[in-house]
Amino acid sequence: MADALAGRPAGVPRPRLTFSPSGWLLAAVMAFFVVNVVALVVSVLFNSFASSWFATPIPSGWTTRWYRFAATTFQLSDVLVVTAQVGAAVVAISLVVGAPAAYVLARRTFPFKRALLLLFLLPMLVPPITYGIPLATALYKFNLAGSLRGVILANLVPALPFVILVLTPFIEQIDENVERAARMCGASTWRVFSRVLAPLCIPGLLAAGLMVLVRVLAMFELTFLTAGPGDQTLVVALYYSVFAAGIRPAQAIDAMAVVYMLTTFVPLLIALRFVNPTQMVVRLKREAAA
Amino acid sequence: MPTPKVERLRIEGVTKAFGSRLALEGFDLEVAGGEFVALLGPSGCGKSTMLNCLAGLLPLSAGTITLDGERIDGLPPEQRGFGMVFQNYALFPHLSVRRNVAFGLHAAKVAKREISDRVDSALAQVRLADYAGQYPSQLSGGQQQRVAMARAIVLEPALILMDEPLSNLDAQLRTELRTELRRLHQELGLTTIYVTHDQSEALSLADRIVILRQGRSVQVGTPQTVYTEPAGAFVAAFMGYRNLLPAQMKETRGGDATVLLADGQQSLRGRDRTDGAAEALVAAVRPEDLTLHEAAAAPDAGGDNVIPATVAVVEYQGNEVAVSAEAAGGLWLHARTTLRVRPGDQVRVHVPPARVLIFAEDS
Amino acid sequence: MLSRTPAGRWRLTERLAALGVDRVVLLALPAAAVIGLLFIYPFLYGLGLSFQPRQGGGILANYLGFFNDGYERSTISKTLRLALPAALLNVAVSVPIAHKLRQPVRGKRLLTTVLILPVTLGTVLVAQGLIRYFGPAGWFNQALVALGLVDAPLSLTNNYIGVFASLIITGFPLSMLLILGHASGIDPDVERAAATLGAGPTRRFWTVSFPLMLPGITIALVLAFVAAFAVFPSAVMVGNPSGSTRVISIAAYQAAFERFDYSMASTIAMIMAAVELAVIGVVLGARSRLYRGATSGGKG
Repeated sequence: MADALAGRPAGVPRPRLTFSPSGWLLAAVMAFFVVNVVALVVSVLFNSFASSWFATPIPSGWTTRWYRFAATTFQLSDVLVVTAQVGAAVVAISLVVGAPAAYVLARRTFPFKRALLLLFLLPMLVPPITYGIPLATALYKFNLAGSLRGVILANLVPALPFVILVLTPFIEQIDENVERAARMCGASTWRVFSRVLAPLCIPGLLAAGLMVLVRVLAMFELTFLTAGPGDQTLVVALYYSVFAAGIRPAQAIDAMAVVYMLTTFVPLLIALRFVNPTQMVVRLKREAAA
Repeated sequence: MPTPKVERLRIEGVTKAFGSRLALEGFDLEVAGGEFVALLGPSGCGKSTMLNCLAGLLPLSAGTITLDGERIDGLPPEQRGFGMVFQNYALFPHLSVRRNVAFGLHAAKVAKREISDRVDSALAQVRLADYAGQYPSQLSGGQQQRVAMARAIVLEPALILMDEPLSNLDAQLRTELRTELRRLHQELGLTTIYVTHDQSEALSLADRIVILRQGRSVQVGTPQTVYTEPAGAFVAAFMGYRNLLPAQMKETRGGDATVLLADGQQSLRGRDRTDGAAEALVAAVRPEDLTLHEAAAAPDAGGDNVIPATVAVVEYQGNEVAVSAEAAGGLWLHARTTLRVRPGDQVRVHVPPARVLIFAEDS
Repeated sequence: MLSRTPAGRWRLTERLAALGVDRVVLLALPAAAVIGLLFIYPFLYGLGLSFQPRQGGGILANYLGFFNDGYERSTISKTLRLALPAALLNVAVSVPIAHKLRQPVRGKRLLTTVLILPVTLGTVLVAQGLIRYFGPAGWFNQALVALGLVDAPLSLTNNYIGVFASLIITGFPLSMLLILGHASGIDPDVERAAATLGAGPTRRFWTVSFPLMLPGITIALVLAFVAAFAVFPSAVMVGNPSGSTRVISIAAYQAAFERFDYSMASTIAMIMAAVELAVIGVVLGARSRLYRGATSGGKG
């Protein structure tokens, strides 16, 4: 009932938070956290434009030369190309392989369904470094590691289950009767998929793709373990540049960090147009709200 | 019937705004102890908002609520001592039926022994004694609804609030539980405010009905009053006056009026319920008050106040059929009859003047 | 109609169809194959490799070597000392805040958007930022000195504190968003019902909200621990990678890519997985002891 909804906070009203003493404490904790995160990001940003910055609130002078420096020293353009290739390949493969699996999980019950679900959940419950080391070892054995192919294969392991877990509830909420109705109208299986299901799934596919892209860009461990010198993604290059610090000025490293932040923020901001931030982590199975 | 715990609930000038939208506007109501009052209206009329304001789940924008002379509108819900039955039951999914019913008694720090006895008797009252150990997810919708009722009545609340408690159930169960609700009310004498959009529920359960429209109450009265004497076209439509024929005033004399229907040719007599100023009118008649005659068999039957029409749709409904017939000027008439008519038949529809109510269109 | 083969037995496809397996189910096979080949197989391969020590000495030589070497063995406790407090703190702070924010409130979307930033930035960037921000000349120390809280800048990087801070910055938003995502799906009427039954805010929290939030809290705790236990780049970048923050990932990495002893590296990875699964087991066990009953919500 729309009327019932109107009477509930789920509808129109969005009450202001009312603060009790404990509420103030929580707000203070939150504020402290947010202020520090923002300050951390801003200090990286400032430093990347600082001609020099010691123990003063603001750098003593501004310059853009660290970006040019980073571009040449760290072969930034090569790194960006590799990052884009890895990102595009992982997103494409995990969507093409993951979407049909999500469809099956959303629509069918069959023996061993729980086992299959567990198989897809497991890579998310085990830290990447744990399976990354044996995976890298195995990939080296088959001469797949140390190349772009190896990096893409390794990144599929967390990406594919993520796509499946995001898409399954999305497909579940598409009324199955829509498919049945299309069939009753005489549509073939292929037509049902291409004309009915695919258009309805586009928002979900887009959101899942963008979220996977953000994750691939930030995935350090697997790329680190499987990449050769010529196929580092941005995040790995950033790690190595910190390692080589001493020879290189800190501002150049921060310039690199800013470039990395920009590449992550663009897909993130697009993704946020489609999904709620709480869905960007793992979508938990939840009770359907009334 | 046991004596009620309250004498008088008084709602005065209650207004509730959501942003710029007024869900309730200057709502007044007095409820006597032991009374069963139904708030009736379509979706979005503000009836659920009123209930949530009463429960303390929504703060008022303006107005007061007093219980036996004491203001309660500032109290949080847990201090009002009202019971509430939610539309979706809102049972605690992690607690057994017994623990669900005992929840309020635990909160009130009632002695263990007494809790056990009172829970048993409440479960017996809703006929769920055998399900005490089950969890809500193991129960059917009707059983969950009974648990929700037991949970509310076990506290013997001053006032019990019900928010469309039967709307999630299928038709047969709804009728069954309706009878049960009425029985519980008679046995326990609980002062009840009941929100519904189903007029038959309100008519069969309530001592008094309040009809809401866009946040205001448009009529308050006993079921008989609102059924036979709706205050306006809106209430009439809600009370089963399915024929609402657009009309203009021809003449009015005493309590009676003669109007011209849509095409301006057909005139109809009825009881004048306008304030005299309105231009656009409607003539409201229930389908069961219309009498059908076959035009060929009885060309003069029914005397005056007759509208000739052509049968268009016939629906079989057991003892009788529901007929939709089209009259001149695109007028549609809905009637019930035992005649064996077929689509295309010419009929004469007789309208007893005493059963026609003439309202202003926007009333 | 089911047709029979001459032998009178159901055809295999028909028997499978009766179980719900048809051609559509085969659509899940590619995904299962990818995970099987790239996750299960390497894992088993690594497990096998861990029992084939490079220097010989029996199948358990690697495991014995790890546990007999105090420096290697201590990586477990060093990792747990970082991961457990970080995960518990992240979840403990998230629960009351998520409870406060479970219903639509103004600014919720903005707040969650700010929270998603550190999660997407990842550990490398956060560690990189901490080097400057937490450093002796960074804003954090500048603020502490300016407020008169300390006389000289604190040493916050290249030690335990730096790594712990990085785990909070990336871990707290993760747990917060997980718990919030779950809590937003709980029917708000259930708590309202508790209020109309006379339960005050504290009682409502402990008897209704907390038990209903518990599944989300458990998963958040598990995932927060998984993320913290795998701490690697920040332990190197803002920690003391040869001392107090030589976590187990570093030991595994060094075995593989500095000593090129893949057998030992796999052994350490297996030990890591075992310790982690043990902790997850304890968490899940504690949850089922703490609260039994139907976990599914609402109308059933």
